[in-house]
Amino acid sequence: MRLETLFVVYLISTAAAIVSPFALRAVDTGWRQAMHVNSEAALEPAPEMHPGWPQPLQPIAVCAAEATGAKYYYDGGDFSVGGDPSDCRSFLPNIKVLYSAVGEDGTLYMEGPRDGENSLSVYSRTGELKWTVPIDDINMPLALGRDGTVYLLASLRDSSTLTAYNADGSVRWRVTNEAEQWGGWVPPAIGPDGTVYIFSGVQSIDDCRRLCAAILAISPQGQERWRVPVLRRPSTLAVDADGRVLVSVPSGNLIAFDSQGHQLWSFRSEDKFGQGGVAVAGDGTVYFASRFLYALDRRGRTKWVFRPDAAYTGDERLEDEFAIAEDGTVYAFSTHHKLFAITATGHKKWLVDDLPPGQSGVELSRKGILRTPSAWFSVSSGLANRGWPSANRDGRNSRSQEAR
Amino acid sequence: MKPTSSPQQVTLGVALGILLQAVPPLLILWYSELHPPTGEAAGWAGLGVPVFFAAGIFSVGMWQALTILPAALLFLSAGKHGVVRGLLRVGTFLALGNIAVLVWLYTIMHRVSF
Repeated sequence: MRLETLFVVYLISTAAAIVSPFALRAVDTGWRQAMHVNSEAALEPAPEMHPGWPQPLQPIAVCAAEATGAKYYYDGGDFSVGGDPSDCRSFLPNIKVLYSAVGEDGTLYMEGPRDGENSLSVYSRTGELKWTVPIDDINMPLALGRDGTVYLLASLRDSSTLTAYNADGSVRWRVTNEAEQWGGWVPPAIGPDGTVYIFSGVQSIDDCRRLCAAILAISPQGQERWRVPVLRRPSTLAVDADGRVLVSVPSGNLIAFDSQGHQLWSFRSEDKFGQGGVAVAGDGTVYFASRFLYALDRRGRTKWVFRPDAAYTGDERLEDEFAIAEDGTVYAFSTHHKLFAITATGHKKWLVDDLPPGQSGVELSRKGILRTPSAWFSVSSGLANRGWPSANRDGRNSRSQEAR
Repeated sequence: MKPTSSPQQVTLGVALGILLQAVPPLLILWYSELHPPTGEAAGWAGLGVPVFFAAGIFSVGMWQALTILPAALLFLSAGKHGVVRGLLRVGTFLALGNIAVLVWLYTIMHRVSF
């Protein structure tokens, strides 16, 4: 090659090396901007935003038991109980509540340190202590059967124990699995026939060699009905009205089993990092929050996908926990501190992008109070009555699917 | 002066081109030794050295121009065309290699983020 030609090749290569980072960045930006996101205008204006907590105190999703007339109020770790805000100021003493649930008869179930000891404490609707039991560790919400049975899963490093407590606090049965527990905790879920579904490390199971983990189905009598292996610790267990068990396995996998433990379908999202949250609307639509919000039909096929505006340009993701209203609206929080209301057809109903600073999360009460850690809204429809519309299924935190 | 070129000169040019790549980082290290940062900047400087070298590896195809081009022009004026050929080959290889590395990195980033 002639020296002049070699010089020209060298100069062109060097110029290309200098320009290439800028060119690649431009191509990358153009690519991201060309990806489909839900940047359309909202269908309606957002409801009025009320910074802070609902005032005066109103029933909130985590402890509202509106069915029986008793209402519970949460205020900085203390619970009060009563019929209306003026007569409800009898706080429960000496307990710090980490998780709570409310029975259909208004009984309060609270997990938290009581007099310095981890305990499960149960109160009547008038605030009287019914019974309390010490528990090893508090690391996940309980599940509450329709007959008042309390299912508490305690997961330690090398064992997990599911305990069923009768309505009077006596132990009905215990199921223990001695095995490495893979860290993290997955709260139990109850199917419409009373079957309790848990995740646990187990000693041996098909298709695993060293660390074995499984979804277990336990009958209301404490008998193991079936177990299926899972490759990783799930992030969520939920059960729909047909008894299908929905298991979110990081990252981006959603698996559906029937009530006999047979896999019905699996779905893979575009998420490569997140945990993934699942909820089920009253019409059976399965919603999977896994970077974006996926709406799946009963066979696990995608109906639509909602991607926030900056999904590709700013790595905006939807949080794992969301809530479904009775009218089908899905309320979801994004990592860019935006609150989305998404219609049942996957359109942006409204958007709030100027929330006061605070943590993320949404809770929706039966009466339509939508609460985030920094503001609340009065929306047109309360939490759905059917399906599995929020992380702990309902406003009572029962984690128990109702029979049809 | 009559221009000369030989395989030995080309080999010398290649070796010189590779060795010259050490000059810019050595100059920067030498400068930082002469002017040590103080106070809070000292901590950042400690963090910055490995970052600087990592960045340097990915941009060596660009900063080779600072050493290869002057050296090539110097040897060209001296009539050592063989050495110039060796230098230019090293520079071209580094520049093209730099582009390949950047494209590879962007491909990985796309796989991760999409």
